[in-house]
Amino acid sequence: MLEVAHRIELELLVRTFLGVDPPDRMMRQLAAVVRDFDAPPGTVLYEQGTPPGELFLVANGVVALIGDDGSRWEFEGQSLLGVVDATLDRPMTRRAVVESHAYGARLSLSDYIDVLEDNFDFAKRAMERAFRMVHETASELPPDLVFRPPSVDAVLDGRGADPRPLEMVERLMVLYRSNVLATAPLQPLASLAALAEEERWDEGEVIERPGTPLHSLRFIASGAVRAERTSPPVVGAFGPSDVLSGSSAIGLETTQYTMTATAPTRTLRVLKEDLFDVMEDHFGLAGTLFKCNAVENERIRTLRATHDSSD
Amino acid sequence: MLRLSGLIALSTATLLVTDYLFKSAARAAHSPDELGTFFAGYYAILNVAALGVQLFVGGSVVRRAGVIAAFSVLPMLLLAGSIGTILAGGAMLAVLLTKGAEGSLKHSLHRISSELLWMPLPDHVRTESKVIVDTVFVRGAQALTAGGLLALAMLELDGPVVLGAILTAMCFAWLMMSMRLRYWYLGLFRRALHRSTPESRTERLELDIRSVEVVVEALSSREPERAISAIEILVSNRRTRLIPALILYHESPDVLVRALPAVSTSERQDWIPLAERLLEHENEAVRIAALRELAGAGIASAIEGRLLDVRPRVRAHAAFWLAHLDDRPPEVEDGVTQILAMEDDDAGLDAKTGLLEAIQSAGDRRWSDVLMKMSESAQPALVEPLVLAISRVQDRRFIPLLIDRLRYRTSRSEVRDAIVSMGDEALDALVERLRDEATDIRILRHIPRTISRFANQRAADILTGLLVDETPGRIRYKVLRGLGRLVAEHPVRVDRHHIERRIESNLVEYLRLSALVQPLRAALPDDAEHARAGREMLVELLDDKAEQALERSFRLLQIAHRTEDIHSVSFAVKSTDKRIRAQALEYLDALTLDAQVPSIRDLLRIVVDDLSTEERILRAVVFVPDPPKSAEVALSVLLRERDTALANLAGYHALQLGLSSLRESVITATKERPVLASLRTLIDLTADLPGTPSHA
Repeated sequence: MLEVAHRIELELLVRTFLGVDPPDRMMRQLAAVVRDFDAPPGTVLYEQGTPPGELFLVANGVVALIGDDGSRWEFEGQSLLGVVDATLDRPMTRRAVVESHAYGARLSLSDYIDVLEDNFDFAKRAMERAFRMVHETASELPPDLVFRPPSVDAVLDGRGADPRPLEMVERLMVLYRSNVLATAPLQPLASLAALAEEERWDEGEVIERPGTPLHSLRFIASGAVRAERTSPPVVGAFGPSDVLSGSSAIGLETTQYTMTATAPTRTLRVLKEDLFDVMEDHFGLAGTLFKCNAVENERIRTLRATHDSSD
Repeated sequence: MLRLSGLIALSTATLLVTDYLFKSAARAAHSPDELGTFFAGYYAILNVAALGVQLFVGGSVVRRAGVIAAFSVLPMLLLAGSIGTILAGGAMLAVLLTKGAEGSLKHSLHRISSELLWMPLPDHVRTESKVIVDTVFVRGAQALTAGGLLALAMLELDGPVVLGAILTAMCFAWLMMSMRLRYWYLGLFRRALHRSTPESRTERLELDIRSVEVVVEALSSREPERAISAIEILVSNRRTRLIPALILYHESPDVLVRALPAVSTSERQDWIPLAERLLEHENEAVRIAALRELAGAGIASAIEGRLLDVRPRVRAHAAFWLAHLDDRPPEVEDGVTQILAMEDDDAGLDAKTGLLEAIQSAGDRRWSDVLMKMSESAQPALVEPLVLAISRVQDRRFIPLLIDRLRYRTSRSEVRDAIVSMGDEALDALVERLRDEATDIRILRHIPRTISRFANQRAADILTGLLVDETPGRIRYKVLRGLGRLVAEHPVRVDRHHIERRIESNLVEYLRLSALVQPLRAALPDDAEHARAGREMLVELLDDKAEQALERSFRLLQIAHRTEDIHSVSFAVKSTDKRIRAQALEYLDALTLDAQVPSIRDLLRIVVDDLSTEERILRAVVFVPDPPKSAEVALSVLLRERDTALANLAGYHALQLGLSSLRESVITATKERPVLASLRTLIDLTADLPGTPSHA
């Protein structure tokens, strides 16, 4: 294929795959760093245990990811492979073998991150979409498994009932210990801590109701919160260092659950606008969130596999 | 490669001439019987000197001055020696000094630097080329020079003055070639670091027949994303004529909505009957898109039919276009007044949203009074479409409102475009807001990037002027990013001296923070385990801040050298591969040879060089005097930091450690600095920790 046609084909593929209306500038940047692949059945895209870092956008064909135990996950066209291991920066956990003729594009995660950093609005939309998609998958789990079990770590030693407001360092500690931001760089967390608002809730008080716009993330500093939804039914609980609605709160536009304080509770409210503003200057924070989503995705996938096999 | 080979051949020839000058002068000054003793004594001294240079000077000069500068030391000394020889009429002392320079440096500094010159070449090229250069070029140069010297001797022109003059010319040529090597060397490093330049990533594609086939094939895809992607590619490459009007038969509403504006260009008519058909489409967005394009093409019948549409939003679009094609002020048109008078119930909000969308799509200033009226009592649901409409009408009365809207991410891009379209008046308003201390930080931090969108010299000057310590850190970083984007994309000038001063201060900041964090990395005493979390956070924050100072330095370097790919170098600097780091170091060294602030070269070498932290801090002592020797001293310094988070965290950790002296420092700091007032609660809470006065 001629050079320009080749690039156009790749651009078409990447645009089609990304789906969230990528800007032209970004497309040209991506087109410069992706390479296509055309693989007959039996081709190994990557081996288990090899270093991570390359992503495969499969446009067409079937690729099987084979685990140690021989378990197979089959992916058809329009799949992105390698992203979980690359995001978690660990050796590839499965072997990727082409089952039926597959073609697509491959690019390195670091190149992709570079392009995302340069096109932050797109990165934000992609991130929100990724969190939503993972949450949608989680919604297919049994009602009590949609959210992780509540954290019981005491973030603030002996300060739960103290009437004095949280100090700057304590706010930072709450964010630093949170499940969602645990691996984030400290500097952006310090910026967020300065912008966060402290809230207090009495036992039995409703913190969020379904259908209300979800403009912020609420980090629990102390106390406990129950999450409920009647249809489809979901029950969950959150404790210190958790975020209400878990990491899915980043992608959800409206609250889907009734959040009720089951003990006197103190939360730190961080506006999503502030989160993304800080992230724009500290793109490492985006990496942290993508990683968090990958971990959640893996938790759900494992639970689904366990649940399906027990059925 | 040829240039490097030529330079090595020239240096070989020059050294041969130097040697011949020395030997011929020695022969003239001593009898044949004395020559053996003379040479033995002289070479003994020379070899001791060479050993000293090799052991104590060579590596250090290369490390501190860079390969190119190190490679230029010998020709400079030889040049001085040869000129001295000419001026002294060939005196033996001058010749001895010239040879002394050659003898002591040839096998040490010169050899190290000439070997390192090969570094940026790929491994296979280097291996293959070196063999050819060492055999063909070096031996060839030696043979030619020897032949030339023989000819001179036969002509009895090999006296010290003539040889001194030849040597002067050769040294001069050597130096010139070394200087020119810098630019070639930069090019080599660019390639070695394996990154394309930013420009190469943004060019517009010239579609050829094969690529057009690929796109047209994608246009006919039933997958909406693929068909839309093909439309986007043709739009961005200005080849919309290739989109067939038949795409308006596509089953996906998303494709139709995207295709309609793409095919409805003024030179085409083929889309009109197909778009008229879409006026009856079941999807509201498709009907609106068809109405908009047909109305834009002046087809009034399309408008009239939609005035009776089932949806208020579509009717509002039709009312807009009817009023828009009329000469009367829009606010007195019946259809418009009816919409404005509607209640803010679902139907009213739907209609008003439709009207605002239509105003936005037309972008006509005649509608600004309508917008002004709607802005006075806009419901929250209407704010977004209202701002988008305002951003298209270019009415200066809306400048303050638009600047206020910068705080919201949604529509920020459109708001920025609108502000920029209003020119200098809007730029003045932005600068005024920037200086106003009452401006909300959530607006403030988006002003620098908005200024950069003006993409002119004045914007560049404003942003450069804001790169000073007085500008708050968070804003300064935005200024830096805005200026970086502006310089990368537009031909504006920047005050290089000012930028280099900022590079200098950021590199010093990096070294200062590295020196501060070092004592805090030491293990905590057993009885201070409870302070581990605070220590970890403090160290992490200091590391982050140091990292950011380095990142800012590289961003500034990119601004000062817009055509270079500094971004790749900043990655190379962090590489664990020593060879890549060394290449990056040499690249930076060559790049900053003509820096207006010379200290940045030294600073970059200290920062980038492969050193242990202790060694780095030691070498940086000129820039960061008195680095703290203990965690206690480091914490006392950090309590005075301007950064509130850092000072608070240092105070927190100091209180956790429970040392009386530190506790006193924290108490004093909270009294002197209001931003540390929040530590007072922690002072109370940690009163019972071991080591505090109550336990002492």
